[in-house]
Amino acid sequence: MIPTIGHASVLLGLGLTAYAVVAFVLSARARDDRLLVSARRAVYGSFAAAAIGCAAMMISLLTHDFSVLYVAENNATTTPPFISVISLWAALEGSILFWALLATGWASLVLWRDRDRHRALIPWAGATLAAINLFFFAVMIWPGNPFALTAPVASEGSGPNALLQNHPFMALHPPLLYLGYTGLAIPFAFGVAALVTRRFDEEWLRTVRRWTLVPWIFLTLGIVAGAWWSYEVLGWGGYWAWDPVENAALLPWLTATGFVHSAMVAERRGGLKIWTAALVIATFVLTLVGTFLTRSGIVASVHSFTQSAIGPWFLAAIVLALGGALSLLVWRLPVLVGGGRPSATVSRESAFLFNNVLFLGLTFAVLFGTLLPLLVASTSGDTISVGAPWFNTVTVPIFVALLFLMGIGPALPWGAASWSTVSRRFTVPLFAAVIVALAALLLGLREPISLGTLGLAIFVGGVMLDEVVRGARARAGATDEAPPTAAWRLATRNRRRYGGYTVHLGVLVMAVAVAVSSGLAVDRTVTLSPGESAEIGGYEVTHDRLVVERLASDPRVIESRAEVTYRGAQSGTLGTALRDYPNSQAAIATPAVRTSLGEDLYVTLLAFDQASGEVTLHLFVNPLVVWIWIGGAIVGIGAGFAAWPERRARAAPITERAARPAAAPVEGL
Amino acid sequence: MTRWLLPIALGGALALAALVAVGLVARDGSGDAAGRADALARELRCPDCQGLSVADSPTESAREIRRQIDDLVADGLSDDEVRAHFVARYGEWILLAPTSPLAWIAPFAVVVSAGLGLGAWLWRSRRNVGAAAPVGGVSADERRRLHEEAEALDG
Repeated sequence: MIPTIGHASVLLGLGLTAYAVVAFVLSARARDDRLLVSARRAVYGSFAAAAIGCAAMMISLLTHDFSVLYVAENNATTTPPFISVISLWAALEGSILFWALLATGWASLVLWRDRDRHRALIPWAGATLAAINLFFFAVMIWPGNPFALTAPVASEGSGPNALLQNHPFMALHPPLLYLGYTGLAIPFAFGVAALVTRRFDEEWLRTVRRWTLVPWIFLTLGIVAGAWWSYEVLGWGGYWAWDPVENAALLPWLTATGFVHSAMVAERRGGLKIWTAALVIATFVLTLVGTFLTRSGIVASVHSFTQSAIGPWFLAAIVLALGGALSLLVWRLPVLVGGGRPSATVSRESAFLFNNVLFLGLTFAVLFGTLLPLLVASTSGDTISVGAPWFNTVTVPIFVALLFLMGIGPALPWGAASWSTVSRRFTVPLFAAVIVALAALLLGLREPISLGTLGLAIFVGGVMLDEVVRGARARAGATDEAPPTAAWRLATRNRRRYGGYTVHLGVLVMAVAVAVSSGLAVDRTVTLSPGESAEIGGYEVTHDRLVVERLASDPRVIESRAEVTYRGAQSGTLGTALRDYPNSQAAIATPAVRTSLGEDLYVTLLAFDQASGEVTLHLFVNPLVVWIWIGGAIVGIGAGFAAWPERRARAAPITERAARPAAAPVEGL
Repeated sequence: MTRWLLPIALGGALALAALVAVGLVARDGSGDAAGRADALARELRCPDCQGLSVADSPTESAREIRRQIDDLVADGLSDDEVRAHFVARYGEWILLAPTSPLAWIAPFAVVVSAGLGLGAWLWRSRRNVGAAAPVGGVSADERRRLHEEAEALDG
């Protein structure tokens, strides 16, 4: 009964989105808004249909209804309720159902929020969003039906993917990532709408910037949460392996980040229309490419847990989206060319443009590295690998250049920078960077990458601090406010700028943490009998005993756990285990991580001998890793601050529009 | 006074950058046996994982390869000979970084040519602006002054 309801709701979603596509397109020409209203309601309806579908799947999982193939393959009678619920995205078909929920949710949100705005754009943006959602519903009817039934019905299922059961972060990382992915369809939809209606104006740009920034926040947090999950679960002491799926998430993030920056130049100076449209299109197509690469099984990855017939469908969708959008772009080329050009080689806008070169260069490098094994295999038949050593060597110089631009860009004036401005703003931070780096060198920091990144971070942070202090001081002088009040008011009245600085601060924190943790981490592998100890990075680690037992929460799982006492900067006991899941050939490591602000002690059990109680442990001391997650949170907070609706804009959109022409001559300089 | 402070700071920063570069090159060139074995383990792929290196992977086969690397290094083989040993046994696939120079050059070629292209475009448009008559009756000087005032207001 429940699976039938689920399947019916998917069919309903298909019908509603198909109707919405047609109604939106017709409403573009109609004088009457009733068609538009009904199309919008059809989208709300498709969201309700996807929600019913997800609820039906969750009920089937919670009640262990093994007549549903997806439940039989991803659930067992012993699966705890929490794991059953998050198994909605444990495998392909459920993921697509969940994906449809988020995609229809975003579409409903944008149509509801902008219901009284952008009358010309909305029909085409709505039609594009509905067409994308139609694709996902169609995938669920044909190649990836989540409610496919199986007979005879087994009395026990095979249980969820072992890796997904091991950490509560599985509840966080995929939803955040999917929210980012699905949300990036919105700028694409507005891009298509602008190309069709030729409305590439400032209003369009502001709308698209905000609707890019919000999904961007989720994508960023999703990527950071994924890295954190990888660190806490996979047991190799690292957080980023340049796995194809990690790259797939990074690619649209890079182009979206490039867009957020180039949009500022476009807004200031006009122009860059082709570039802006191309970035928006590329971002969306890359979200499809990522899904295609990993879900079709065409590249091997930790995430390609299912291979299925959806590959050709996604390939068709990519060709359609890319081909359609590019043809539209070429068709509208005459409207798009022209506009302002930067007037100086050294200025804030040229810094933004070089930033775009670097972001697009990174996108190319990551895409090239991800696809290279595929290209080589299809041309010469050789199998080659492209992994961390290649990606690190190629991307680190580009990341360092970006970090450098991040420091100088915001401090350069729009228009043209004079030598006196440059020297006024950069001298002190540069001195600070040199002095701090020299001090670190004298204190014993010899690792070149950590040292270089530290110096660069001090420079960039110094320039930023100077900007904030200068602004607050100017405002305090002009308004008689206390400096902290002045700083806060300044920030809330220039949300984008100060939100952007906060994002940059988070990036700096992450950069230093990544450089130091990869440069100064120590690790060793030791084999210990009960009672024996080993030394690692100032810690004494003692193996107390080996315990082999069944998990209380899921008796089908056997856990072999080394109980360990550690003394050093942190002291206490920990248990690090290997778990045998009935549906996994290899035992799954459950590393123990003891986190402090300065360093993590990370212990993985590699092997054990049950008879003697002897264990082989991989011990790591990873400095500053927690600051990567803290930096990620700062990035999210800063971007949230920047995207927060401004009071003025919400209360009186008409006055603001009226006020704009008066301000334009100054802004346009 | 500030006129010569920036060159000094720049000089210090460049010296530091050079130090970092020298440190990176020097680190790659030398190293004891354990350091060399570590570096090699990071370059070789664990045969039964998804893209993790031998150094990072906890699996039995990765640890077996790690032991072989230690033995080969102890036997006095050079880094290239160790790599060749594993390529002969597993194929090119075992190396995590491709050997073809094209694979290394392509990304940098794209970034550098795009950067040069943008630089040339900016340079040309700067000259055009310089040659053009004042826009809307506002002279270049006036534009700059207005601009600096707007910047100051902007914070």
